[in-house]
Amino acid sequence: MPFFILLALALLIAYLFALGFVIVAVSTVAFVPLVLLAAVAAYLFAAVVPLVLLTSERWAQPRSANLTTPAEVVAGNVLGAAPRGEMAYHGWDHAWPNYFPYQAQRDFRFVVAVMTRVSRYFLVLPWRWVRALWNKSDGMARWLWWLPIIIGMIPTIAVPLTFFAVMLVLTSALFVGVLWVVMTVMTAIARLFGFVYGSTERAARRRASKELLCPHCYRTTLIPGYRCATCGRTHRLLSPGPLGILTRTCECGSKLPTTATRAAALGLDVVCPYCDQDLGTTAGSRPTTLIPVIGSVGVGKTTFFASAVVGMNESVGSEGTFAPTNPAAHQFYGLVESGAVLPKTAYAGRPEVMTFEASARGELHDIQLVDAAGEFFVTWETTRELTYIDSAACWVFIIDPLTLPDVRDKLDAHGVALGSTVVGTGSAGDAYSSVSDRFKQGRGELKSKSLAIVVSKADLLTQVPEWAELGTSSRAVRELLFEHGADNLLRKLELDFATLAYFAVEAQSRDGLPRHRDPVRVVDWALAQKRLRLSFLGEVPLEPQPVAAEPTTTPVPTINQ
Amino acid sequence: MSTVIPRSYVVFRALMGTAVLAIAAVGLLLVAPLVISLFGGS
Repeated sequence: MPFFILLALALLIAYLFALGFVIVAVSTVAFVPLVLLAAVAAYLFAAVVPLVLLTSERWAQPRSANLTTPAEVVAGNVLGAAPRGEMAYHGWDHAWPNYFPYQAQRDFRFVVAVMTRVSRYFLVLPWRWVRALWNKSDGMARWLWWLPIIIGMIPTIAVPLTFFAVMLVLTSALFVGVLWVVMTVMTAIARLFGFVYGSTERAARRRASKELLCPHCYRTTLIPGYRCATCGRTHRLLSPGPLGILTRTCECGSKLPTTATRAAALGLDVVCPYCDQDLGTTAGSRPTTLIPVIGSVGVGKTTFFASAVVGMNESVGSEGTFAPTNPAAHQFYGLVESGAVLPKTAYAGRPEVMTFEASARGELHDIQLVDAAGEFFVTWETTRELTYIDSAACWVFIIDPLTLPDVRDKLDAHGVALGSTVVGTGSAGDAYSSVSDRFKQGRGELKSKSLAIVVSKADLLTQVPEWAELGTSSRAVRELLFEHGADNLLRKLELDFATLAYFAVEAQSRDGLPRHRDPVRVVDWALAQKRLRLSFLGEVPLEPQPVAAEPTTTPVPTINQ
Repeated sequence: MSTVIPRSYVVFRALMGTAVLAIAAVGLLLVAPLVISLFGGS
């Protein structure tokens, strides 16, 4: 019996020695190659799998879950809650963001997430196998058979697999890290290019006065909104930026340009970015001048515009163009052409912007005239709605000389009959203050604007011999006003504005109208203030030149052309 | 409405995947001489 026990012990020891030898031998021989193999496999896996993940149709579904769609952009999940600036209220446009960095970041995270999942799986896998083998049986079989196998697995399977998992994470992180740097550089280059491109475009449009003035809300902008030609969605911020540097992809998939110049060349429909009103296809694409008039009731604002419109139409001749382009302009133009008596401008609703396109053998320009009833020009309150005046670079202030008692006395003294001429009511000073004081209160800078001071009804004034040549010089018009009761008003005007000029106009009839009293000269002067090439009376020098006040009468600031 | 993924996304994704392959290849080229010298020197 003891013999059998000793034999069994000897066999067990021999078994253990043999098993230990086999395990050590296999482990020693296999460990290094297996670990190296795991490292190479991890490297290749990390190199190939991203391409598969990002391009294979099999992974299209999980990739879609990571898309920076226009809906995500609008929801504020990609570019932040809203764009900065004036369009913040409207939020982001429905368009796809740039791949770099927005979608690229999500793609990187997707790849890293998959790699992390795979490496975790390989980290856990050997220990799962160990547990399965350990639980396979119990008793002697577990200790004598499965335990040695488990011990043998550690250097041959568990360690290489763990190494594979760790290397997979490290190499993936390395590759993505390098690409992240590339992405950051590319994003910076794209943003810099977009900034330069957008700034250049805006500067060029500003220089050319290619502004959009919305006739509905009176807001102005250098960047009009456009409708997608395919789906009609509004794109308010069509400029190089996070939604496209050179082109933008609308939610519907259509490509849009990123500048107003290219959008206009494509004939896209223009939309006011502030109020969403449709404005045709040419709005904001041409050099634009807004000419608002200021003046109390009956001073001749509408007659001034009517004569100017007729004059501009006559001046362009056969080689040029002059035409109304919006309903308000068509209506006014029709009324003026019909020769009917012009009705008094209604004091109801908001004044309408009349847009005319005009060219004189050159580029088409938009001239926007805004006539408002004199009743608007009474107080701050009544001019509060006339915000278009704030946007205009040049104001036209019409003064009825018949409202000045000294002038009336002089006309009476020379027996000048007023006939059917309507005499203005209200104070010119109040009319001016109603606009300028409100503008200044809103921190507006009048020095940056130009003022044309227009003395209307000059046909009556010129019947006085000493005023027969009125209008040939700005100085004479100023003297007339200054010496006949408007001195305080002129002091105020000349203190407020750095650039102003005086005109005398005849607007009642254009028969035999001398060019120096043509209302079109005021329009020409307004165009010149914006440095536009269009001039209706091109061959006539831009007289009257602006003048400084008489040194003997009152000190005034320097007045520039 | 089905989502129309911009072509630029498809192109850039393929480029990114290819770039990973390129980086891996460059990495191998950089590491290979080191490995060869290690084994070759023994």
